[in-house]
Amino acid sequence: MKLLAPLFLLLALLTGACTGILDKEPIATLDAGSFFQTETDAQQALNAAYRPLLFSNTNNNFYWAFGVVTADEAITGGDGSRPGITEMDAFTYTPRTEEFNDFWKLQYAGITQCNLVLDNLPKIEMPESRRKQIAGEALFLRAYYYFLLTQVFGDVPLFTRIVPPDQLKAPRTPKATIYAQITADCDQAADFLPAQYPASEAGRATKGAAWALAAKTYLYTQNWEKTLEYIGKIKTLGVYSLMPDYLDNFRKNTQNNAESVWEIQHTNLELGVGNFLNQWWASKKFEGYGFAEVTPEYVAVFEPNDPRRRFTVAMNNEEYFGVIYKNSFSATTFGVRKYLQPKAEVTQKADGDINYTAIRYAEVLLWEAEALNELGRVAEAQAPLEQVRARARAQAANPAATLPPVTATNQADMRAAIRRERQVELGFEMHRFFDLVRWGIAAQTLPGFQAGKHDVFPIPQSEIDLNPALVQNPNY
Amino acid sequence: MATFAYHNFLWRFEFFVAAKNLKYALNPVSMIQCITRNFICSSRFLQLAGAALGIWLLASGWLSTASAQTFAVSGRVISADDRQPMVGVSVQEKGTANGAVTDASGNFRMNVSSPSAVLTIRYLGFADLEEAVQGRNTLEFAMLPSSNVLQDVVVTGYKRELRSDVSAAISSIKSKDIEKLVVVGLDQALQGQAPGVMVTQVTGSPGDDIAVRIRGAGTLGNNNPLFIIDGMPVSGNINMFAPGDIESIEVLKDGAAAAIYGARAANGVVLITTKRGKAGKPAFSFEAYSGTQQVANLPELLNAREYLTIRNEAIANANTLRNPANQLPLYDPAILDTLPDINWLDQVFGPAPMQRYALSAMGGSDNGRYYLSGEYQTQDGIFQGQSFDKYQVRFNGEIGNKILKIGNNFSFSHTDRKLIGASGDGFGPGNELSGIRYALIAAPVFPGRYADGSFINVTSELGDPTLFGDGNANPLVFIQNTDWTIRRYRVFGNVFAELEPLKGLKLRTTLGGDFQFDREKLFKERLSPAIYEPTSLNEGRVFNQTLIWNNTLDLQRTFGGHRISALAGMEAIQNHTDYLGASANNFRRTDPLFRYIDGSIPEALENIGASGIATEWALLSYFGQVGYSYQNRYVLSAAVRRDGSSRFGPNNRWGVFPSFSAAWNISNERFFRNVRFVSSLKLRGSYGRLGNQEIGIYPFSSLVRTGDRVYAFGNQIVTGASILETGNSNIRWETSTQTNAGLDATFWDDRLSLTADWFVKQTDDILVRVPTPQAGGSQRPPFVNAASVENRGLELGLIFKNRIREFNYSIGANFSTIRNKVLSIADSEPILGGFGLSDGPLTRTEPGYPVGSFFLYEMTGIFQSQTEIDAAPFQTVNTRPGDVRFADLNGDNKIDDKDRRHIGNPFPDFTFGVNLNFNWKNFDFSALVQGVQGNDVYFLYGNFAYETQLRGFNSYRDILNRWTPTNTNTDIPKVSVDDRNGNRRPSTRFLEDGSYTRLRNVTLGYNLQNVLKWKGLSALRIYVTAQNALTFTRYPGLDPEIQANANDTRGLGLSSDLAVGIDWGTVPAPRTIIAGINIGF
Repeated sequence: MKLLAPLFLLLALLTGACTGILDKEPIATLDAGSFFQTETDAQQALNAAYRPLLFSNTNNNFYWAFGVVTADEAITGGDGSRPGITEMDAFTYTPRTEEFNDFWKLQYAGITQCNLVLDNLPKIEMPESRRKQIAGEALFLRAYYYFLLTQVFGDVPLFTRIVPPDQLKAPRTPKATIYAQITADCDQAADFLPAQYPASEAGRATKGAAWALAAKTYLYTQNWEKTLEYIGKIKTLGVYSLMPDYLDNFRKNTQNNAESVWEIQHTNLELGVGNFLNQWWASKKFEGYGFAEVTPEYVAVFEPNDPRRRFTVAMNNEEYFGVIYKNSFSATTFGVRKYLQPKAEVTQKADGDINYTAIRYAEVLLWEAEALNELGRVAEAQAPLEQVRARARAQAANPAATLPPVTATNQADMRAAIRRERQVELGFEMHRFFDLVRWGIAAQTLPGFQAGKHDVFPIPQSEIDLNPALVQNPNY
Repeated sequence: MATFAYHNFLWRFEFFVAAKNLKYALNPVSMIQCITRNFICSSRFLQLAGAALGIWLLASGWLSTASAQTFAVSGRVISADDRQPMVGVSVQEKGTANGAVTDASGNFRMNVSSPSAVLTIRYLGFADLEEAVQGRNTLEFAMLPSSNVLQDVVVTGYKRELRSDVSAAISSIKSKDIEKLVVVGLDQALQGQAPGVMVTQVTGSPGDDIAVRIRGAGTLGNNNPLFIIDGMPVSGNINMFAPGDIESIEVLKDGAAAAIYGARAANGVVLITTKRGKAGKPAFSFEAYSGTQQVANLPELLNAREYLTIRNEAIANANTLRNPANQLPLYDPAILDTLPDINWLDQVFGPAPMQRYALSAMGGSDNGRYYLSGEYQTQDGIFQGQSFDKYQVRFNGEIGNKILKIGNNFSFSHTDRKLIGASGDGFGPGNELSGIRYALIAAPVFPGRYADGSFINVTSELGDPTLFGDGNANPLVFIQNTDWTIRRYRVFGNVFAELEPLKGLKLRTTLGGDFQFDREKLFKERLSPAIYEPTSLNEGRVFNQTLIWNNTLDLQRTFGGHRISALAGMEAIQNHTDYLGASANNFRRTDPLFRYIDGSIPEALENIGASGIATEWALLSYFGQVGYSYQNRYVLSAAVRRDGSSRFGPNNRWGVFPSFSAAWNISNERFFRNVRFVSSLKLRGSYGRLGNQEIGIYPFSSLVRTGDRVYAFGNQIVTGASILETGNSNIRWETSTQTNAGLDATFWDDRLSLTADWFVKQTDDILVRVPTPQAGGSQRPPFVNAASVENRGLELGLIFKNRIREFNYSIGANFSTIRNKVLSIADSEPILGGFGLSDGPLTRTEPGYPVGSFFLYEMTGIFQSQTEIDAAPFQTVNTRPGDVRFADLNGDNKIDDKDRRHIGNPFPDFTFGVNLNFNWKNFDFSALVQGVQGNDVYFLYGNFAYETQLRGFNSYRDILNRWTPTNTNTDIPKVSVDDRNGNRRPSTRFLEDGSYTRLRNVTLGYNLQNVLKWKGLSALRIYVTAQNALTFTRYPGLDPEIQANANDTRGLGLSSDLAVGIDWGTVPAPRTIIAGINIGF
């Protein structure tokens, strides 16, 4: 027994010295509590807030399917492996259609990241100018994500800061409140943001982009005066003009140009930040999936010899990124051209480096025409409309005989002209379906569309399952 | 000497095969080649063998040398009961391989080494006898029926105890219970053997994981029990383990038994003890088997003609609801002449060989003992492209005297696993894009190859995805274009020193280590723009090191009728895991020689990636246990463990886990002596609290993920920081409280033994990630102590042993039933699981229902007419005759999401196992039947089997009985390429009864040594075995035995049981026929 006492003592000493082994901290991973220390940290978090904008292969960003396939521009081609897109085309989709959930999740990921930046920004010591810059970008991005969410789903829950998990089960906020938040955020962002950046920073949100998003929001609420007011502000910046060549907006080396107001940046430098549309939309004969095949109805909208037809749609025997386009490339015989490029130009087909210009100055001009016309200022609407047509006309083979100026003097004719101009100028730029809904003509244009139901898409069922406070859109 | 014996044996073995001309699957030539090529010649083995041999020689130095066999003995063995001679009794000189067997008159004759030799007499069902020869030439032995089963020794954690002193619920499986079963892995050693222990093969893929559930699913997180091999906790896959090395397996089921493992024991503990040497001359054992595995039960799919018929009907049915502009054309049946007719299941499944060889030696003296074994196993999968190879050596040694003993357990293993698509759920290693699922759905008209024999990469190359499938892989090319291997080296073991300064007082210190080195390699060769674009290689290296140090002080004292035991100890465990990964895209060539990072095209530097991370955790514990027994009648025991874990925040780091138990051996009471038919009777009761710390490694901290390339400004990529996971610094231990009452009894001289246990196990403060709305962003939600789950159950084990002259038999049966129920969840918000396809969650875990219970619409039939539809609650505007009719459960006259209810339980009503063992003369026969009854399986794959018309996939042949205006008496709805009524929504339509009864193992053996009586051999047994020979089930899928992961997209952890009963189409357990031989010398 004498042996025992020292043994126990030894044991106790050895084990007592051990408790330090329990202090284990994460290795090679940062802890959020201590993350926001410097300006760089805020900048890093802001960078991540841009990511959900991308049409990359990891984002499952189906904004294009809403704007293009659901509308009358394209039918679902592809191989059926995305049944949700087929359902969207045929208006047979349900709250369980996967693409809705993907889209919901993506926009809210962006919103949460913006809120993370905005919540933590005041705690960090940095020059006030930098703080404003970062806050401005985050406010704009949040406004943009909410705008897309509202376009697709109507009323959605509104969060303007990070909330604890138990407060996420919030009901839907009326669309009008969200629009008010968007315009307020845009105003604040415009105060903070510069009008232009050096080339190395191209792609960050600008003052003009913030005003343009506000203008678009007012357009959606048919507040025509406000729309015109903000378009006026954009014009006073003096940085925007139409590019002489329409195609400059869809070519790698001429992007972020004077016509670009808000442009989503894609690059093929690395997998995951490129443009997946290059594969989604390209014909199966062009190393793609062929998920958006141009309808004959869309091709028929173009006036004779409008050069934008061949800039937007490929037809039999036309040159097509270095090959000859054939009818067999598409079920409808017509092929889409925008956002596509040959595989040789990129490392991977799924990683295109063509940007998506969400707001082009040409569209701003068409908003102006639309707002003026809706206010009954029909004659004044001619000027911005003519500006857009003149650029196209100049690129025609025989400008004198192409795209004559619109001289309509009654509101209805002018409205029809402006709407057609939007179709041909902005084809496949993901506006068409939302335009049809906002104009109230979707039911007469799209077979299968039921007014009062299909104006908005259903809230994803899995989100309703997680948040019983959400009430489904009518008739779903 | 050893080498000589080895060659000698091989020669004899060849001779034996040639002489008897037995056409077993064992081919001696190929066997030797195999051993030589794969095992002996590998330098790895030589190094190891060298090291092991060195240690062994060292140990053998203490051993006594053999002397000549000089002294002749003869004798007779009779039964003590009826004085009849006993035939076939083994008589062996103790500590040697020298032995004899009694003849028909019970007589034996042999030479022993000296007049002072000791003889051991053994016979199944009878107690072993040992007697010194003491110079006598003639001896007589009377054998008594087997000694009291309650006198077994049981491993109870940090020590061994007599069965009679055990007051907790512990199931024990001894090596003799499993050695005749030809078990391939630990799973089969446990399956069907012990009540309350449910073992499921995750897939039929060789080397795959097993799921072990002890007394039900107690938590919503990780339900895996703690495995401890020779005192070392084991995490991860244990497929490296050689079942031949098992001495015993103890399953600690109740709170009192497991409490000594405190914070890790809430899911039960499985203790595995490996064989150790016994004093005596070296005893060698060689085992070899070879067999073939086959797929047992494949569903019948449509042939080309039937497929086209169904497609055309589905198109025609859809067209009636489509607008005229969107009409789909029908196929001309004449195209069948130009199309093949392929059974894709036949293309991917095939017979697969398996072989195993093991050699072991054991022996020793009073001062040193050793056990040395080596094993080689090779197995292909019945699904092409899978295989598993294992090399393992073990050395367990011990040297010492009465005061000090030092020893070790050591094993080295090397496993190579090739995986591909074993589970249709697409999760887990090798299941990406799931080859099995694509084989099940590939269209029979999809030819697979061009006329020149080359493979067609994807079905869409043929231009008509709605006929040939929607562009996914040719199952064969898919298998061929994926090369996924996991190679693992594992060194595992411990060294210990035990000091016994006073009789009954033992001080023991053990230092152990588990070192795993994994190399995982995934090469995907480009298939098409849609799949595997571009060719890519991902390689990972994991170094996982667990160190453990424990010290115990064990005191045992007996005075008068009192027996006291006390144990005190501490244990420290530390783990460090390092991961290094690299990837590259675009390869110059795709043959195996170039499947390395440098084989990628170097000018594309941005296509090469690297990553590295490390994690650490630690556990520090103090524990104590006291036991008291009085005259073997009253037994009391108490234990407590205090655990500190690095996984919890500094404020909640420590937990205390106490337990108490008591037992009453009624049969030892004086008043009970007259009850003749009861040989023993014991009542047990226990209460204990246990913990669970398997909740990730840093759950208290919110993690920010940095370094991701998120966006580009001015065509320059920038990195970003995003929240990965929100932490919760307040989380506490999850605790489970278990109350157990049990009874052990034996009757009629131990011929019948019975064990019964009743328990209630309640787990509180269960740590779950409560899914939050996605409007909160994409980060994983934090863990919270949020739920309580209760399991109540009853377990029964029965063994009946008897002998009728030369016929010995035993019948064992076990049965257990468990009722699982969620008691509460924070906020009472249900937790959703089973996110399958695009159907939304299939399961819903909420109070009042079992964990992961199905939440579905109820199918009540098929609409037969428009009148019926109009009269029924509203489903959809497009509902037509032939569509599924769903029940309006909330009575609001329309079918919507409110009409789903809890309607299926993934847990069985009961599970059972039946063991049969017969011995007649030289024949032995054993069989194991195992089954589960009353569980529901969601036949998710059935969605494909019956609703694939939109995507050009094949269907089960039953679909020929679909609803048509002329075939209305059916439960399969009309076919259509548009599912406008939602016929495939989550409903009871795909809920199936998952009950099955399986003849797991049936073995017939023949003891040749009794016939041949070859000198030098102590045993020679040949056998044939069939595994999974028969399965009785009504389940329509490939295999009712499934354990799917939760398939959650919200980070609840893949090992949770929130969606276990969902069948995505999984490679089934193979039917295996094996022939083998065991030789002892």
